[in-house]
Amino acid sequence: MQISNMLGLDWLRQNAFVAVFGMAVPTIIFLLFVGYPILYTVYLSFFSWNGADGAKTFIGLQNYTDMWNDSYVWTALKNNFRWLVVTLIFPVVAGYSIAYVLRARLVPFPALVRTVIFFPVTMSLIAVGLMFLLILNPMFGALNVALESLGLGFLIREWFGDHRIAIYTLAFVSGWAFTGMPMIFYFAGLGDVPKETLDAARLEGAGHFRIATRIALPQLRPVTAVVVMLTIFESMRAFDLVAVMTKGAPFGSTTVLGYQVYLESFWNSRVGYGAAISTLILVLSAGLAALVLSRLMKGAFDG
Amino acid sequence: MFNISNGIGRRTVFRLMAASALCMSAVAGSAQADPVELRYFYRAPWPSSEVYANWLIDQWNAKNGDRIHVTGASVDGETYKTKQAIELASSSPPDIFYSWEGGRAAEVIANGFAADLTPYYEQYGWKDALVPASVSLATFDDKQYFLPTEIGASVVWYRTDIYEQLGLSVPTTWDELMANAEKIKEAGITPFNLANQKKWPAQFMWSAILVNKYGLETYDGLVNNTIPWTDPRAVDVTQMMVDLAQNDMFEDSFNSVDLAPAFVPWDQGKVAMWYQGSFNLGAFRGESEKCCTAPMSFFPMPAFPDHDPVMSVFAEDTLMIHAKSPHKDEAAEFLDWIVSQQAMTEKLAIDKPFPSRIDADLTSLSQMEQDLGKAIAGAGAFTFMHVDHAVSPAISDRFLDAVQGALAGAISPEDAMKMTEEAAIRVRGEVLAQAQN
Repeated sequence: MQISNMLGLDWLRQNAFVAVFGMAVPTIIFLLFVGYPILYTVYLSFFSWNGADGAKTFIGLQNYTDMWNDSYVWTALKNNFRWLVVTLIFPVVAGYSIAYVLRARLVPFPALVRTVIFFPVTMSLIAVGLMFLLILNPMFGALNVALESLGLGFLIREWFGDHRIAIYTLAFVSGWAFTGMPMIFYFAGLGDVPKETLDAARLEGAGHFRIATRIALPQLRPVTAVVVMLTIFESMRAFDLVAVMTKGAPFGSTTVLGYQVYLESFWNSRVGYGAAISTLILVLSAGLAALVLSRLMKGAFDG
Repeated sequence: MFNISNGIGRRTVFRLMAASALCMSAVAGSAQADPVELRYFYRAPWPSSEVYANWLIDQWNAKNGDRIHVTGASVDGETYKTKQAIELASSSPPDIFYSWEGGRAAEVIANGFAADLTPYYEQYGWKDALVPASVSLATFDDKQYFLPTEIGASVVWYRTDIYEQLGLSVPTTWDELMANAEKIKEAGITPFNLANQKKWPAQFMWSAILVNKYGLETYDGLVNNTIPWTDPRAVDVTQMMVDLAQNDMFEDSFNSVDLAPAFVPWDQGKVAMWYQGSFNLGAFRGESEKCCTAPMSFFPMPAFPDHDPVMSVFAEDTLMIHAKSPHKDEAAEFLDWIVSQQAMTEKLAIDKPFPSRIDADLTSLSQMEQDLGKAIAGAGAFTFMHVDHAVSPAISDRFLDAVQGALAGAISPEDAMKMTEEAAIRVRGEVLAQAQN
């Protein structure tokens, strides 16, 4: 065997276009715009820097020990997980349910319903936040008025003012905007479930609930893995709604890690500390993604 | 081969020399004609602010554009800090930029971005032309670093119709204010608007109570870190705010109500008083030609026994010249235009009050606004900024969270001030340690 063939040079010569535009260029772009910023963020997390002057002081792991003792970071971390739980339950379950209903044609005009449900995904979260600020306004918001008129006034809450529920309000709003995404994934996935399987289940007397939960869902494991992964990333990078709706208030109870990064880096001029929190987000996201891949994706594509 | 002694060659050389001389003089001429380019980075929190800034720039460029040409770039009120940090540290920073007063300004100065404007204060006579309190706010270590272009004050706004209806008179002491508030509450009207969803509004009342009850020196001690935030006086004021909240002195769900929606019950006459800044006059004015949509007036936060009342006067809009600007003199000339009587008078027509110039013509304003303008101008040099202006954001953010938490009943006033003190120690711990030693 020739050396050039052993080194794969022959393949490169024959597939130069693929090698350059399919591999080299994307790799360079990735390293430049994703890899380098990530590495630089990790590097910055070992420094004290106000972002304004050129003087960066190396402080080792000080930012990480500060983070460990910072109650705001802990609150933010807990809030990210609360956010994740809400968005894993509400939009994913709702998205799957709607997708099944649409696929089974249990509602009229399924294409229209699908478009309407998907529409919020295309909206800016800033616009969504401003809209819900009005809807949930305690003085004249539509939700409280609707609850009152339905005789459900006892359910009225300070949706943003009560520190015990404010984070769930934000996560719910995020879920509302996000529902269309799992719906569209599941809708596509349900199309791949063999018709024979579903027909057989119907002949066996299974109802829609049983088919949806016992027959279709187990076959959608790869889709669920992707949806869960997207939900994790969506929850870990939560920022827009907090920034536009509460700014972490009341009492810092709605802060999330992404908002803390912004606050510390730009507001409090602690760029190194903000970088340390960013690194935490990176580690958490990667860890959770690895967990999902190892559990949900394992054997998902096995024949 | 080219021969310099050749007749044609000599003529060619002369022609070339003549042409070169012409070109050089043309280039020199055009260099002289090229105006100095100034970049002006301003904050435009209201639509009217943008209109006014454009007017300022257009007027200037029409008159002086051939000599000093100004290009503006605006930023809204919310995101200016993020953009400012990036702009100032960039390789081509703006020549003139907006900066908040107080703690934020101190950070900008400490980072070496702000030019010393003291010589320009002398050259253009700004010290005498501007409201004394605003000059005092611009002074750091006996040097002036910014030019205040808009000033404001925090006062108790009150609905005159409700006061008349209930037979109340304007209070001059804290006890009278509380007595009025009780009567208002009994009449089924909310005594005070707080609108604390974004957590900064409550600090207005907090700092005013502290200054008026315990004196300016106590407040200065807190913000300058010579008195810890856990001081019993700071805790007491937080407790007073909590008591007001628990006694239903503020609107329902005050921690869920943002500032803009709070104008609805105000305009509807469902709230009688509101301790807030004069920067809200644009909103109070609404669509009316003159202030205000609702019948209203103001009084300063009443005094406590043994203390003179102090009104908070602050520099709402302030401009700095970048230390690295190669055109500081030209920038100062443009700043002088901004605080000229003509520009300040136009500001009243386009934007909201108040101009920082003492002799600005206020006659186009409503009587109430004129009275407030005079009160601000006469407030003297001794005044105070609210906490988020007075200290760095790292401390004030914790303070605002803490007070909001205390008002919500989530933490005690003691814990609220402890939270603030922890942030202060982290940011400026050494200063406090020295002071205590």
